[in-house]
Amino acid sequence: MKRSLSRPLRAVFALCALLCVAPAASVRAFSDIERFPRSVQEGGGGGRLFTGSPADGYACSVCHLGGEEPSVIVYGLPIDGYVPGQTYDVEVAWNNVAGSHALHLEIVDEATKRGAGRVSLIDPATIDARGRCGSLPNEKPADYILEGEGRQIIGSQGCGASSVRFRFTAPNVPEIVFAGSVVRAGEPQASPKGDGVQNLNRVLRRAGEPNQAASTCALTAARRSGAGLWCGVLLMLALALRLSRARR
Amino acid sequence: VIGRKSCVLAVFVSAFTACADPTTELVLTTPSAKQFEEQVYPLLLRDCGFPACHGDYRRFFRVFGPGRVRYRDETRPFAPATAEEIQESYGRARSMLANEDGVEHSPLLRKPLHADHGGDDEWGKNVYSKETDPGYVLLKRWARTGGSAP
Repeated sequence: MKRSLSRPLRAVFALCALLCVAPAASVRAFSDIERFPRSVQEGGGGGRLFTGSPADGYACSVCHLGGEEPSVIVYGLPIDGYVPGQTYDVEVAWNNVAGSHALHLEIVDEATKRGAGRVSLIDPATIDARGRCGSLPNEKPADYILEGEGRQIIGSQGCGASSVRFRFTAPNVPEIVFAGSVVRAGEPQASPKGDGVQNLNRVLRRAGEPNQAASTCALTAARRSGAGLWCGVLLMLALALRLSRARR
Repeated sequence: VIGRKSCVLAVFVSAFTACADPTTELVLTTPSAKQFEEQVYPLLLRDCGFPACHGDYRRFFRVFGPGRVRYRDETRPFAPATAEEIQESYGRARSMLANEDGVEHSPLLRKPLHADHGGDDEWGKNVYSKETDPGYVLLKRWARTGGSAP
């Protein structure tokens, strides 16, 4: 029995066919710091600042993709527990062998998803070459700060710096999240394609709180390895069943 | 041998039974284009239209606009959205509402909440964490403007 398509179904297929032959689209990256806080109609984030934190969700990886991940190291985080009111000097550094790097990071309260504590840039006069454009001692500092809607975002422009330093004064809440996203620009520089992204997520707890320094990366990995374990068990069972049948 | 015959027969019976159902129709509604442009399009740009997500050319559902993927290469990256981009995004969003069981069960309203949607963020959450999320409420309200048949 041959079944003819209903009118709405034909309309959907026609629409699909039309859309499939639509012209190729272009892809562009954010080009300047001021663009991020703007409305989406102006090409901004519309409230998203792409730190990957629980306050935002999305990281740089929603736009930048396809390239090699940058190698990033974070120094100075109070991973053994932070003391409320205490100020910590934190540095995020990356291997700057190839490609410019840019970053957005923030520290948020796990419970409220709002900014936690206080972050500030260090005195520009004390910034060494690594924190400056081109990693050159006389260039301008690459760091900046964006504030609004209860969030503080530390950023580094993609101008050739190889680290960013900032100060963080801890809040009196049980748990905070340090989250950031670092992009290494690939070629061509004007496009987000070919860029590599490293997302940084770390749950930090107040000194004295249980389960110090749990890492969300570790939790994610544990969940994945759990699924892998069950797959492995099922595979082994299937194999054993097949072997026992073959013996009969 | 009897087992195989039964199996083949069962497959044929089930296949013909499925095709013979005359009531199964895909319903394509026409939700408000005005509300889409004013409210839903900015929402989709904010939450969906990124190059690695629904700006990717390999996806059917795509959203085009400033600071994201442009529909035409010659459009400047941050130029205002063109009428063509809004229309194109509307058409694709509208198609995502087509569903045999009505818009409530359509991919556009189901996937942003669904566990297997690829849009989970760094924390394993989906685009909208629950149905009361303001973004989801807006999307649903718009979807219903075209009726929620059947």
